[in-house]
Amino acid sequence: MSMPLEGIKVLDLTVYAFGPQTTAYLAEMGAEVIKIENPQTGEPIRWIDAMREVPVGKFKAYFEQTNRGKKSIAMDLHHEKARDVAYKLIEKSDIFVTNLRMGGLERLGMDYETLSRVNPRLIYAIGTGWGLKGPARNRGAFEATGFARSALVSGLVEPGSRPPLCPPAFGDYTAATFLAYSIMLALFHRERTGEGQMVHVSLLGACMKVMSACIDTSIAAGKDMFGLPHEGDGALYSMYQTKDKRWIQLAVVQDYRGWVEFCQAMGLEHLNDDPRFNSFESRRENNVALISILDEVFLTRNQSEWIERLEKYQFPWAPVRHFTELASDTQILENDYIVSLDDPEAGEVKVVGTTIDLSKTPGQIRSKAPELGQHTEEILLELGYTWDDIIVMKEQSTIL
Amino acid sequence: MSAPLEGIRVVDFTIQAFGPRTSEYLAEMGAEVIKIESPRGGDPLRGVDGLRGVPSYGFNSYFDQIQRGKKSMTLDLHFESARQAMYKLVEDADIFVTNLRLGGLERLGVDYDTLSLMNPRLIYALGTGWGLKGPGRNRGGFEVTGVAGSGMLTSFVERGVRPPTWPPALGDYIAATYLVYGVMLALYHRERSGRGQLVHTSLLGAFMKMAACCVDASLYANQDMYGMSHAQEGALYNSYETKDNRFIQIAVMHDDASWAQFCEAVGIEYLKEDPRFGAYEVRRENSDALVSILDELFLTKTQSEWIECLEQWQFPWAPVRLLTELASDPQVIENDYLVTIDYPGVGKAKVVGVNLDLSETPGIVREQAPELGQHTEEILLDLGYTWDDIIAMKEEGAIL
Repeated sequence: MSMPLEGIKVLDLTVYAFGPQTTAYLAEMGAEVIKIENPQTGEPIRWIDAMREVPVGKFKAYFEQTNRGKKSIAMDLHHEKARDVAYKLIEKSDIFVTNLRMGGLERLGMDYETLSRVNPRLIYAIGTGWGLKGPARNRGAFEATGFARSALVSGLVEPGSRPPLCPPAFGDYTAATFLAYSIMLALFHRERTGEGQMVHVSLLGACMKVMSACIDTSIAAGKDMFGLPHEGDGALYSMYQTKDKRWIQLAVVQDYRGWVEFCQAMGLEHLNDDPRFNSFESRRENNVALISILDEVFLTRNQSEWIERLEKYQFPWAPVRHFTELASDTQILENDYIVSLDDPEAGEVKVVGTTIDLSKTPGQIRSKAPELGQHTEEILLELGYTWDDIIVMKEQSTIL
Repeated sequence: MSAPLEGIRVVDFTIQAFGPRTSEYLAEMGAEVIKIESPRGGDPLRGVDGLRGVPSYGFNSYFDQIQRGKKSMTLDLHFESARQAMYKLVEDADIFVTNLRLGGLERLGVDYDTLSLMNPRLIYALGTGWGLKGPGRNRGGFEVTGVAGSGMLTSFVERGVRPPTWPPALGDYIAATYLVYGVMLALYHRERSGRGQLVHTSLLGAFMKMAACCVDASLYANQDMYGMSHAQEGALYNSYETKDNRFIQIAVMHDDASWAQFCEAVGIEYLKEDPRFGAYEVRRENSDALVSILDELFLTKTQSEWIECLEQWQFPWAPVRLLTELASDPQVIENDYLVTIDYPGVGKAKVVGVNLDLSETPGIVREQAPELGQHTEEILLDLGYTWDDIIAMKEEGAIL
């Protein structure tokens, strides 16, 4: 079985998470990805030492996740010679991906107009914070600004409450998924027509796209949608605390016809025929009463006891997991959502897999992210540069 | 300019949000999407009359945004005649999309094995709750079960605190973005090889992918990543309350130049060289102190005053928007992140746009969602059925 993007060459001029995750998606699916890094600074994520108090250690999980399976060429695009190398690589590339700011790309000669002239078949993929137009188009951005301005975080909390900080990289990876999808649209189009093009996604636009149910509804009604307090949720579509201060999420929809089954699962058989709860309409009317009953019931057992008890039931429910628990979740292991990798320094590590199944052309998690500039010489030699050229470039600090 | 998926035919056998959003992405990009619905009620979302306390206004915005531009055909696959019509459609289709449960698909004769025998070029895209294997494979899933089961929900909050209620459809749309990326990988592969395949992701798998950096880091350090309190979180990557009980999100870089710029922007120049905050390392050490200073500072102006004050600055910041405010945000408008649609009988409505830019083959937001079964007869006639056949199918209840 081959991978779907075998033979596709990607040039990657990306930093942080949005851009790098976009090309990591392509690398997982078999593309050859060459990452250009600044010889002085490298990718800033290389140097992160902790995230939210979780230390990095020998295995740089954050950097690895978005850079594994790529090649690294360390060169300074402020030098004319390095730019020539980049243009030579562009001639041979199918896809160019960047999330640098537009002003910087122009200054480095890596803007769409320039590169599409070098290679008209090129797919030029750009991720921005705010879009290609508008007053904020040149402003910097991180995922938190996308979450804020798209109103995504306002949908998570009650009116006037401080919005939560979203999990690290969640927004970047979501936007990257959207951008990788756009790249595939353009690649498909090129396969049929020979024509390259520019594809673009912003953090703001991507966050709005995934929030569009709430946005369209709120705008149409002229009324904002917020997070709800526990009592405001539907009783069967809510989260309940367990004896050990953990949580079980129920997600049983309103028209659920298995009330008796649900009562059995909860040990609430005495409510089977209770007129307050035994139909959808009556449950909706007596929602608050049902929530207090379930609040009490869930507090009688630990989360793991609930998992054991609910395991055989097919209505939608889930334990609210901690990340470290995922590595021992049978469901996750059987689906290869976590795979083991051999890291030369850290030994065996467990990481999230491709988590997308392609029956004939599956992707592959490849180990491991390159050292800064690990492939500089190899790539230059392939392009026809001599060792003498390479030495000169090193002396001029064009490359590392 | 044409849309990238012109000429591609999609058979959509989906309900709720995960499946429908996946094929909606394809519809926006020019594919012809035929939605198969049960003659008895159709997609359950047709009946939704509000979301989280926000009533539908004039049109069912939730249903509409993931069905627009599709054709609707009713077929009850419990009838042999309907199943034969489905098979005729599949013979000619490029992509089949579903998010029904595996057992149901088998019972209805529309599982991957059956359909791929009929059309080996078919791309069969499947979204599940929990994956193709494992003890939970037949369990129902909704977006919150994926968000809870992946561990992501716990990293929104501090340890032991109730996680936020999840905004409607946000999780489904994110998983759909990942699935449609998989669909495009398979379509591209088919273009090169002629072979179709099964493409699958689950809510659980998609969310683990979006949380992958937290998962990998937590597993390696054997330490869970949680949300952090306002005081603990980095002072310059945080949200601050304004005088009018709104919030401003800032996401300023760690470097000293950004710090200096920030001080100037918010009028605390006197702190630029303060030994507690002047250099990155000490800023990090004295983060709590800086958070309290900024807490006080941001309370001196309303959100709109802060927006005006910060507008000219290019470091990353954003107002925390409410959903209805997006309609008047110039950045949103200039990038067509909201577009206006004319609804017969309702008037103009603003809805989220395509939000990804393809320079040569842009997508389009097409007219409103179809009525239940609006295109049944048209599609059957195209397939070669006669009016007599159609009447017979209506009489037995196979179609509406």
